[in-house]
Amino acid sequence: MKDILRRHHVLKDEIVDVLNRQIKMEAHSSASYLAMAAWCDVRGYDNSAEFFFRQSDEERKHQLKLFHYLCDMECDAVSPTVGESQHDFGSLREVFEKALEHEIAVSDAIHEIVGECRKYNDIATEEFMRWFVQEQIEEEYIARRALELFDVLGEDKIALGMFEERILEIKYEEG
Amino acid sequence: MQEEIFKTKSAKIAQCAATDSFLLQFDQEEISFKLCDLYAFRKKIMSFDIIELLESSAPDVEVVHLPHCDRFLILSLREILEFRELLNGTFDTLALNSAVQKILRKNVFNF
Repeated sequence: MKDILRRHHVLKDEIVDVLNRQIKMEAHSSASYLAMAAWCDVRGYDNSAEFFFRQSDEERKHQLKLFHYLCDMECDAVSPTVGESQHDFGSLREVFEKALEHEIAVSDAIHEIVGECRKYNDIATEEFMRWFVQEQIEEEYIARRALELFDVLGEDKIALGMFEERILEIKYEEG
Repeated sequence: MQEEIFKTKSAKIAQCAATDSFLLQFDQEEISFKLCDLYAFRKKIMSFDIIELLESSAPDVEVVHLPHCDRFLILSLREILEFRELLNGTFDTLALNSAVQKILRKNVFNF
């Protein structure tokens, strides 16, 4: 009997489900970073706002990368609904604390997807997810570095000014 | 050529190898589905909360829209349960066939 399932629906349902969950998570991350950017922007932290606008774009790109993969595999990619994001923060440091929490949660989710790929012997998707694993190493590094700047500089007005000067300079260089 | 995939008391699904499509026969009607449409149909059927339907004082019918052919199905609770059995059986059979074909494919390059 002709194998229509394999020809037109390349991935297992369980893998489609976890990828759709990740699409939703990336969409929520993108929205959360927008809220953080807005908080920074109206308080005059222009460079921090720019940092979060860029992060929001990054998360959106991750979402689309997963979305296109599901479409390419002729699987059901679900455009997600996104819940409320946190808009109130006590300080600039708290915003960056939340950013790191987000990145750690995303890394955990990515690693779980790799685990699912191994469980279902889905070599192609595991290979596809390798890019995300690497990306999360970079994202977590940058978020952690940003927080460390507060430890080094402090949080008075002069320190926050210096933080603003440096936040866009943080880069991850492998090795 | 149509090959029967799964059958329940009053409905059945067959696949057509020539068009890569599936044919649902139900209540003297025939509806053709591409695989992605069949997935979408299953998702709708599985999304109904059976307990809620049983406890509701409203008539136990649900309307299902099939946008790929612009038709509506009005299904009773009994029919929803039968469709669940039909679709689960169909996808299980398709998965089994995939597993068998995977083994057979190994013989394609039998040097």
